[in-house]
Amino acid sequence: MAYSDKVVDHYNNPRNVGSLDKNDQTVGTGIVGAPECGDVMKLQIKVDEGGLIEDAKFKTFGCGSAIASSSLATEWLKGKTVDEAEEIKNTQIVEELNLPPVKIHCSVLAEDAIKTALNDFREKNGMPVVERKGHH
Amino acid sequence: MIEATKEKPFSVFNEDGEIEAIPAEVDHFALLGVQRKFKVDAEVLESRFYELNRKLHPDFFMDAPVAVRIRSLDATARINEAYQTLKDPIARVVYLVQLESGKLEENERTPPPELFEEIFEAQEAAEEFQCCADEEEAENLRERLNAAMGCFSALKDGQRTALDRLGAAWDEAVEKNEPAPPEVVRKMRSILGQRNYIENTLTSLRRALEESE
Repeated sequence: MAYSDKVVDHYNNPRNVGSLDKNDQTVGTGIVGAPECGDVMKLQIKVDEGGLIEDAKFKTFGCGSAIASSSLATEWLKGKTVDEAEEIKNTQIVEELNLPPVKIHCSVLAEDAIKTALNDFREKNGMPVVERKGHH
Repeated sequence: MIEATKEKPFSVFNEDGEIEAIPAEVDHFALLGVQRKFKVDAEVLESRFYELNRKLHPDFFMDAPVAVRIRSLDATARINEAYQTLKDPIARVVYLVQLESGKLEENERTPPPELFEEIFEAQEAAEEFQCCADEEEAENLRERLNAAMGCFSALKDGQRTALDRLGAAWDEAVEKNEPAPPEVVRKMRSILGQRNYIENTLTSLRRALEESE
C-alpha cells in the first residue's frame, strides 16, 4: 500500500519526537495502544501559565501512519488552549494525511492519546476531566 | 451460545446437490462443521476443508450458469478463509473470543500502565542501541536488550500457558452445554489484547540485536 506524501514527510521528518517530564505539574501525558496491530503511542503536552500548550512531544512505535498521525497531532496542539485541543478530531487527521480506511485506527489512536494527555493535565491541576465518548 | 455448538453444520450443497449461497452469519466453525470451541481436531478440520474444496473445484462449474459459478467462487473464498483462521491456534482463539464477546479493539486500548512502561523502555533502548556509536554504552545497552528479551519472552510463554488453561475451561463448559464462563472470556480478551504489543516489542529487540552482530 502506498503512503501519501504527507505521511511519508511526517515519517521521514517527524516533528517533536521526544519526551517531557511526566512528573511535571504542567505536563500532561497520554499513553495508548492499538491492540489490533500492537502500535504504542506516547503523547505529552506542556501548558504555560496562560493556559496555552507551549510544547508537545511524542514517541510512537508503530507503522508510518501512526507515526505521522502523532507527529501531526503535536504540530496542531502547539499554541492551542486545553479546551481547543479537545476539539481535534481523528477525522481531521485522516483528511490531512489522506489515510486509507485500513489506517484510520492510527488517527483514532492519536485522538485517544491527545484526550488522555489533556485529562492527565486536568487531573494534575484539579480541573474536571472530560468524559470520553465512543469511537467512530 | 449453546445452540450454535449443537447446530447441524451448514451445508454448502442443498438436497438437490446445488450450491447454496452462504449467509453472512454462518461462522467459520459451522461452515467447516466443527464444534465451536478452543480446541479443534486438526485432522478433522483438514479433511472437511479438502472435501469441500474438492466438491467446489472450478472444473465442475465450467458450464454452469454465471450465478452458480459466482456462488461456487464465493463459497471457495469463504471456506479458504475459514480454514486459514481455524487451523492457526492463535487466529482461531482470537476469532472464537471475538465471536463470543465482540471485537477486541473495542475495549482493550489501555493495557496495564506497567506493561506499557516496560514496552517503551525496551523500544527506546532498542532504538538507542541501533544508532549508538559509543562502544561502552553499546555494551550496556546490549545487556539491557538481552534482559528485556528474556522478560518479554517469559511473558509471552506465560500468556500462552494461561491461554491453554483458559481454553480448556472454555471447552469444558461447551461440553456441558454451558456458555463460556464470563471470567474466562474476560481473561482471554485481556491476554489477546496484549499479545501484539508483546510481539512487536520482541521483534524490535530481536532486530536490534541481530543487526549488531
